[in-house]
Amino acid sequence: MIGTGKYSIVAVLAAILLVISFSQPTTAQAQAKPQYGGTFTWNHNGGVPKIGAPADNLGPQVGNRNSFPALENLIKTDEQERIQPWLAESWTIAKDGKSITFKLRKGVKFHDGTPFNAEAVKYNLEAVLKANIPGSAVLNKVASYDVVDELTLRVNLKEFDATLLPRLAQGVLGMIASPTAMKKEATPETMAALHCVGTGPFVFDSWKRDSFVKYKKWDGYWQKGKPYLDDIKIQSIADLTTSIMSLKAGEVQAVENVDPVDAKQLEKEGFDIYQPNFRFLHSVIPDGGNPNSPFAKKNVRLALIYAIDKRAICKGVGMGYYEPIDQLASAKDIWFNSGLKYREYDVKKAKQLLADAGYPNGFKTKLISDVMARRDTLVAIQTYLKEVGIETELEMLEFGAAFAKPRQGWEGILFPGYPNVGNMVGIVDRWGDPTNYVSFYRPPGWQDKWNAMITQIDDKKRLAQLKELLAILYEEAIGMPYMADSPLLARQKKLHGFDFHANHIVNYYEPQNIWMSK
Amino acid sequence: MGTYIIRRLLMGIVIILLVTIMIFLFMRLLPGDPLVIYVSRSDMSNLSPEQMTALKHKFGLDTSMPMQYVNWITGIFRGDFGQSIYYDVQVGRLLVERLPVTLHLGVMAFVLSSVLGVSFGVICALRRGTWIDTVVTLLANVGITMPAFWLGIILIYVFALKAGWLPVHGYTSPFENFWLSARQVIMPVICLSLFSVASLTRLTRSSMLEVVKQDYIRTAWAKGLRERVVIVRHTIKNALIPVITVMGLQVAFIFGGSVLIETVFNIPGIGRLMTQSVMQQDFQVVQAGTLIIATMVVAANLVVDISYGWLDPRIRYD
Repeated sequence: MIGTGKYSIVAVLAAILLVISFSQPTTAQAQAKPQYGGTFTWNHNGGVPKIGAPADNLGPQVGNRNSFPALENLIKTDEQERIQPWLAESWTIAKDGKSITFKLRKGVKFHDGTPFNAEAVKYNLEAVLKANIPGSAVLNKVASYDVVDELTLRVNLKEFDATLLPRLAQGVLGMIASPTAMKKEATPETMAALHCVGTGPFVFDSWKRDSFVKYKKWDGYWQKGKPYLDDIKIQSIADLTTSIMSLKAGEVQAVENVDPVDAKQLEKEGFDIYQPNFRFLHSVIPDGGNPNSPFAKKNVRLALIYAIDKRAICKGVGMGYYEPIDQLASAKDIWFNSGLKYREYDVKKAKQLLADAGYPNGFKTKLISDVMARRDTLVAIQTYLKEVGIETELEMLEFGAAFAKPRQGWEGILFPGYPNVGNMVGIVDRWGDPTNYVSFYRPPGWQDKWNAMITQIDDKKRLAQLKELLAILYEEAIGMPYMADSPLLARQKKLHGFDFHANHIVNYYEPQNIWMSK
Repeated sequence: MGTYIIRRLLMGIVIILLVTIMIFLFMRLLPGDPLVIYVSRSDMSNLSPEQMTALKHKFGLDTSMPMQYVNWITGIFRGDFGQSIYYDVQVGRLLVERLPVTLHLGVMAFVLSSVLGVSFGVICALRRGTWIDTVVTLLANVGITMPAFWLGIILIYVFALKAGWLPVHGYTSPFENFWLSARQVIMPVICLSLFSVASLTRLTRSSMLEVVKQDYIRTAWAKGLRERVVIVRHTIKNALIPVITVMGLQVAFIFGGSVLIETVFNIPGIGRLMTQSVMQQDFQVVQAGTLIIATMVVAANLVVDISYGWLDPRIRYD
């Protein structure tokens, strides 16, 4: 009897353990299953200057992040920058590159009940060009639009431009609002309520200039069963310390653009730190295009590369989150060229290159930066340059002047506070636009090569051309990329699906996939 | 009296005009073109020279500097403060949105600092040498040296983050939600009034100590007047003359401090608008905001000057 009892106890214990072992994954799965309800509030520091339709010119940096809950793009990209369907289910590029035909998603409606169709897309694209919103110049290459049928739009092109699809996928340009809503006369006060009418999972609720915008769940969303949240509130808070305290106090569930030092601390305190694959690429750019500048000589530009310890800077300011780079690519980018050897910090070599170029005792130049730049990095670069004999006089520009400088030209070294957006369009806009960053050295045939890349229809060939251009940038030391970073997002553990700057798109997130555990 | 007020009003107008000239020149002397901010919202490569000319006209930048100034000033008399480049709306609209918020905080901070500063000063003077005097004077010295934005962060940490009693940031109109508004303004008002409370406490204390030694106070005691009458009618009233002068100056400190405090507590008032606009070189907004603040400071000082006559009838205005 005793023996039987022992076996019984063992059997019961084994059964309990078995039940527990099977039930644990089930519990974990249950936790991973999206839950409905709740208000998600998050902070950024980019401002809420205007809410409306894309053609209302919502601002170059903040337009999409404040609008994603209500407005959706025609197409999107994935982490590899490949174009993906969204409101358009498919697209076909004609063999001669003279037209792109979009097949639109069926059964999609705007918040005002009007249908999403080819006419609506045509209306939006014409409106954003007329409003001259950022990136809209590419639409000048459109010859005409043919509404083939309710859900088919053919865009006839004067010439093919490879940035057209990425711009539609990654910017405000491709966001589609209801034409019926856009036609309504609006004042700055009524614009948000009247014009911010899209196909997104949330409808506009309220806003306060420079403070917040709030959206509420829309039951008519085309993805059945979504969104999960009841409301989304996007707040603009200028002071990062205040923003982080509101996260810690539980008033908000996520804070964008957290400094690496704060990120480390928040991680210790149990918050999630999300870093997207998408990177901003930081460079210093000498005025090699100016024939009287020391940087007109290749050896001097190369000396700049060896003079600065990029790894130390990234370690110092990035706390392990940032990546030192020596080419205009993060190791995660598809245009990263593993054949280009990383040029390590080498003071001796930098001094030798300067001596070879006729500057054995160095020289004096300007280091031009702006209020958006990190001061610690700026000081580090100034110190490194001094070490090899390049004395720099610092010139700090205000916000407005900082935007003007690249187009006006500069003397010395430019340290732009606003980095290179790390996608194909961002790289083309900075390095392939002859009217931008006008003072850097452009080797013979440089612009022709960019033009050839932009008009290339074949994706693989275009990628090869981009790699070739970036190899020239590396070999000729036209600019000195030194750091790849991405704004860090701090979020509460209970928040799910809020991946900011996802899909290689600045400010991108998918509000329909966000949910919070209770 | 009437002549004095008119003379002071004219002087105030001259001061405001000087302020407008200075701020106009400072904004124009900053490097960079304010139009570039506007253009950065658009696609620059789309803009023809004609469109750039049209934009310059829209923002009043197509005339000479003196004419731009004249146009701006005459516009103000018509109620037109110009167009914001960053927000793309009339500056007047931004001022109407933001000014009540700053006034709400500013008036509360002014009242709080005046009441507490004068009360603490009087108590310290009357209880000179006691522990109350020592503690309050010590706190006043600390208050004068403490940066308001730092205090703001400490208050947020203690009362919002640790205690959970107050919200970290934000502003709600008291007409919208009175209790939420009250909870939101407690910390910003404390920060805005701290310096004023501390300086008024010190000044009132020293002024009171000066007055209590005067012969007429001794006479008042000798007449057998009650303590309350001696203190309120004879001592405080006479001691307040230098204090009132400083209270007028506190208006400038309070509105100047709003630039920092509104940023720390994320309050959409004139201060935060100014910070944002300076960053964006939104010159019309900065000009208008500075003009408003200068006018309020000049008006406060005018009120102070006029109040001297009530406080001390010996002061004559002619």
